[in-house]
Amino acid sequence: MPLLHRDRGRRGPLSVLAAAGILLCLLPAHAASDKREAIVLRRSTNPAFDLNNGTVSAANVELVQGSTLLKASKADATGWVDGKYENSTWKLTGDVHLEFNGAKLDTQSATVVFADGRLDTIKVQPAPAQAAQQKKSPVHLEMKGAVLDAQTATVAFADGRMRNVQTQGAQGLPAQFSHQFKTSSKRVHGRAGRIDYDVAEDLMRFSGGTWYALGNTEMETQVATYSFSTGVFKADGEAQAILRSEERVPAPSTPNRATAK
Amino acid sequence: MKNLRVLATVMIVALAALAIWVAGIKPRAGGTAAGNPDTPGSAYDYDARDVLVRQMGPDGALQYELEAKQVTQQPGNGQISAQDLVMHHDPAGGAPDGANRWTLTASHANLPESGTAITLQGQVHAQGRPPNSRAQISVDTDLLTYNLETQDVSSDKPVDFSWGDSRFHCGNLRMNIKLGTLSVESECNATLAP
Repeated sequence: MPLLHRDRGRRGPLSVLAAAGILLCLLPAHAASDKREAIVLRRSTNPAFDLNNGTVSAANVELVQGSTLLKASKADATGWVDGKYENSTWKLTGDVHLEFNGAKLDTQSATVVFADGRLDTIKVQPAPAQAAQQKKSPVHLEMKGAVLDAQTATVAFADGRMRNVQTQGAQGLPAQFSHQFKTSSKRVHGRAGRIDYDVAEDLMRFSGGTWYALGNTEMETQVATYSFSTGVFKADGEAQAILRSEERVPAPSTPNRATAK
Repeated sequence: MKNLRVLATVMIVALAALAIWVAGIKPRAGGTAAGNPDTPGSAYDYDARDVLVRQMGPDGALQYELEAKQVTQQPGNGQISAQDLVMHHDPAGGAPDGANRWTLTASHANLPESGTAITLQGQVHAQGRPPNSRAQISVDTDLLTYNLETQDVSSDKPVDFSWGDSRFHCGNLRMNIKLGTLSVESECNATLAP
């Protein structure tokens, strides 16, 4: 029997306004990605082209396509045919910062694929040796008030719009998630071997050693979902819930006027 | 009366002939600076107007073809210069006037007498196609060197270039047409076409 946990909060007029604001912020991003747009290379240093093989390398790259931003210390692109990036693959390395559909992704190495002139996939898969050297998670993704840290990530797009995000942890290093639900004062925390985000359903899917916490409530299960729109965490299958009693803060004592300075 | 009419006709014809002969003479004297050929005190080894130069290589093959409003050679250093020129170059192995022909236009150019590098100055425009590309490369700058032998094209001035519909603005340019390589040693911004 599924175990449900709803984050209960009151929805005031401010939260409605905030939700409308978020929606308005997302609208141009969707509209901009509807058509095949030129990429503006805002900045690059020492670009080098192999015109015969369709490759380009450059340093300090900053690319913009509509509302999508790609920044990296180095970029190596392949599949540039006749000056067109239409079906090209960009390997970005060093301080990679990506912005798309209201999400922000920071990592040290990412592969960005354009298909038919539109953003198709973003893959973050550091080499094992590289991942082992990094103290923090190689993938840091922020979107819709959520923060996701993982070892690998794949962002898939359809018609230039983000369709889903798949992230994975490594052994002993699960993918981590936290989210501030719009009407809650507390932040949801979670971790799992794999955390995926489905844009159409606005749903996070956790699988493998899933742990979830909200305030004094903790839950452990294998497979679970969390809805961004409703704040409902739903465990599928066996789950173990822990409800911790509130730690009461002692009431402050009245200052002694005689000893007070 | 009839004799007078014949005499007048002969005189008119003679004057017209004299005028044509005077107009046909080009002064040998000319300015060292382009565009001022009448300055006294300097001289060209030669000065040709509205010319078509076809330079052959050692193998007898056409090296380049150049159309210019004026071509001059300085007496001191033998430097040959061209003004308002259009140059065509078919890279080695390519058919004359073939798909890989490069066309360069400029306000001024220094042509090699024995070397192989042409320096083009002023509103320089170069256009051609790399060997394996269907799209043309087009370069606009103020100063460009084109080495006919190595097929190196370079400029240390700001350059606007395009490859197909993608357009770039960079601080300089190094390109080898034969190898199909293009590099920039500066900052660049661009609009990349899908």
